[in-house]
Amino acid sequence: MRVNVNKYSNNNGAGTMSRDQRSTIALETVRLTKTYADQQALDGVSLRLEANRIHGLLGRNGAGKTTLMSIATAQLFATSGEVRIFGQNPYENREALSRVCFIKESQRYPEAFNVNDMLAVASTLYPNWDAAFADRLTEEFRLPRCKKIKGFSRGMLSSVGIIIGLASRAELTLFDEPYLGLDAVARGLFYDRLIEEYAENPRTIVLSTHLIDEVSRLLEEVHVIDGGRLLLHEDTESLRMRAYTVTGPAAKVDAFTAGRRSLRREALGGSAHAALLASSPSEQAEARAAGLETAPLPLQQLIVHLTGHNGTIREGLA
Amino acid sequence: MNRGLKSVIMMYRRDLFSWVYLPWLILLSSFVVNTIIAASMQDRFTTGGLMSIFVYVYIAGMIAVNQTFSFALSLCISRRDYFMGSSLVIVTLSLFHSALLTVVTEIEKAVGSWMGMNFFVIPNLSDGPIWQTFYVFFTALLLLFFIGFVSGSLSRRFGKKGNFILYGGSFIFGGALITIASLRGWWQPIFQWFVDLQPTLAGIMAGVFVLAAVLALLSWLMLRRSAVRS
Repeated sequence: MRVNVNKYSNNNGAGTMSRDQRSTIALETVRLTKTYADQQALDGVSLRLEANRIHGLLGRNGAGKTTLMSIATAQLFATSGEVRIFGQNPYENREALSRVCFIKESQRYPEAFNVNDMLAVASTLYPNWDAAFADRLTEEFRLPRCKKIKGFSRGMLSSVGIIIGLASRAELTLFDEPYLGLDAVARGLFYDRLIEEYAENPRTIVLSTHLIDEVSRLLEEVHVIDGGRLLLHEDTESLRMRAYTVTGPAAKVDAFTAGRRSLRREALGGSAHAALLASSPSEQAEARAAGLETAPLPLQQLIVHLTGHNGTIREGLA
Repeated sequence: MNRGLKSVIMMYRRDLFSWVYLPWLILLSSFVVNTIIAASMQDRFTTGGLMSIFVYVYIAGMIAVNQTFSFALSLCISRRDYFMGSSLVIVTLSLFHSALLTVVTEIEKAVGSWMGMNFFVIPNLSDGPIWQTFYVFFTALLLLFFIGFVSGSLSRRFGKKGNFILYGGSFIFGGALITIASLRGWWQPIFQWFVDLQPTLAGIMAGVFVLAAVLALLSWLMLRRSAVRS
């Protein structure tokens, strides 16, 4: 099991990192803050995405995921804090920017553009562009090549983004809500092609989404953002092992959860059900010893509980 | 040429219809309509139809920023590459359109008029030597392109508010200035000052050229601080 050095975001170790360590970090933010007149979009987010892994940037709508990625690609300016792509500030930095592909959910295309136009621009832009792969994906996603993109449905727009993102072979590829409007077949196609491509050409992939269930099996690391703050960063595997539920008589459940990281408690009659995040590997065994039934908590459920906007529980977490 | 710059140029190249053909289609239809009118009239006249291409490039310059800036940035192209690429395209298009305008102007000079109508030859501007005609068209197109481009950049940088303040402000300020100048009788000295300068056409056009360059610079200063809002 991996050791999670950066489980909580508040400490910033950037200053002490050696040059060699930094080079394996694809994207790093240090106390990144973005304030609009009426809201705080990001509130001191420090995160570090290790290169050549699949990261999940998870959180509810409006949590700050898109803002974070927009600042990381120098499209937006941070109010304060730092951002680095492969160790470099991305603002007006050709070298750093040329290694990134950011597929935005709300991407707008020039009025006159069709899929062929888009592929022509992408092939000019991305150094590792795979034209054959792009053609194949266009077939598989059944996109009309000569129809104007501005008339596309939500699902077709998502497909355009997926094709560009995958075929770009960019060292750092950021997908923002990549599969909105896609049907189950197309989503399955996306997951399959992503995994194949990742196996053949390892690169850093970020999937930012609030729909976690289906992608959770792809993710190697999870970063949970809520209300502009980083709530949690952990290896998916260890998170899966730590997140569990207990069920049993209410009194026993309460006795067990007292003093532990309980995310949610539901009672039905005399029995209760609680979701927990274990702080030691033996915790689930202890629960069973206490006469409770334990079960793994799916990632989607864990994120829902974490970002369900229950302040007291979050305080308890941190 | 780096990939970002090439990609920006590619964005414009994929839409040749808007950038190359459409202004000429508009100009041509205006020409046809005017020729028909000329055929049914006895008088000789000069139309203002040529203006359409200048209005067109002004609007095109403005729309270009609106459509391509956020698109280029979302593809992780640097602002510098966007600006350089767009400026290159604007200069190239100005060269192309003015060359074509020069050719048709020379044809009109050769044939005299179209059914008694003059469409391309502008008295005192494009009725001189061929190089002068080209130079006048080129600088005028360049200026209007960049007026549009700086206007689009202003919207990018400061939102709709920016253009509202600029146009509203210059309307009020300009209006006030004209009124004061008229009331105080300043026009005669201003006119005299201009005559005393003994401006040549080449000199005026050099001024236009400098103005276009200043507007380009202003566009860059605004775009380099512009963000892409989603």
